[in-house]
Amino acid sequence: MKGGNPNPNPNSNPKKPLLANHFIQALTRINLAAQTSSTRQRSHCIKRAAYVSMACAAGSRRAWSRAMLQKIRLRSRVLRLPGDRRSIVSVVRREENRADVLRKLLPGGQAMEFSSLLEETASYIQYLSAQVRLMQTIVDSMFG
Amino acid sequence: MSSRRSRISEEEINELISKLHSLLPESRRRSGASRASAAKLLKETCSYIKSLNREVNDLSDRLSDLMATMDTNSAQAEIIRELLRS
Repeated sequence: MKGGNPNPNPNSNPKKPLLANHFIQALTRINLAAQTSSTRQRSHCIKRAAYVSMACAAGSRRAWSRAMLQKIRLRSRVLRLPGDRRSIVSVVRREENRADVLRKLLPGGQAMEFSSLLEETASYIQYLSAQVRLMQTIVDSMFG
Repeated sequence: MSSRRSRISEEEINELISKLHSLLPESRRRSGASRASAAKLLKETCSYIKSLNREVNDLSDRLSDLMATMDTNSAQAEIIRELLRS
């Protein structure tokens, strides 16, 4: 990969053009609506586009991407995206099973068998980190 | 999707755990991904996913700010597309 960006997973490169194309098209659309939206609203649209890009790049092969697309398309107005949750202080503290925490973080994770959960998590992490790198690259290029 | 629980071997679980371990960035890895540290790996994985989600949040904010000041046309998108062609 060009640019000195350390990529521990060379075989994740094939996803990159798909991810990039979808996300940039979305950014262009959001950009055209720039005059009418606030910075905060635009940020929300960008975030939504980030997760949709990931899910589209992964396609219907993955349970997490199917679950994510389903959730986003059903709730197009009031969105609860990953990372929106504020921590809730529960009155009764209890030890949470580690897998349960993971199930909540992974789209569609609640219904999965444990081995699927691990496999889906691996895939989700690959796409999520690729998306972060993509967004960082775009931000960097806009400064340059 | 089969509803019947098939017996997943210890070996298969360990393989998946190794894979997860390899996906974590260097700074988050503990030495060795033995079965005994599976709980730690899961904890680290959850932490990593949360931090990635936070990064998406932050980068979305930054992109939003940048787009407010940017010269808006599709030529910009084309430049970025070229940059990302690897």
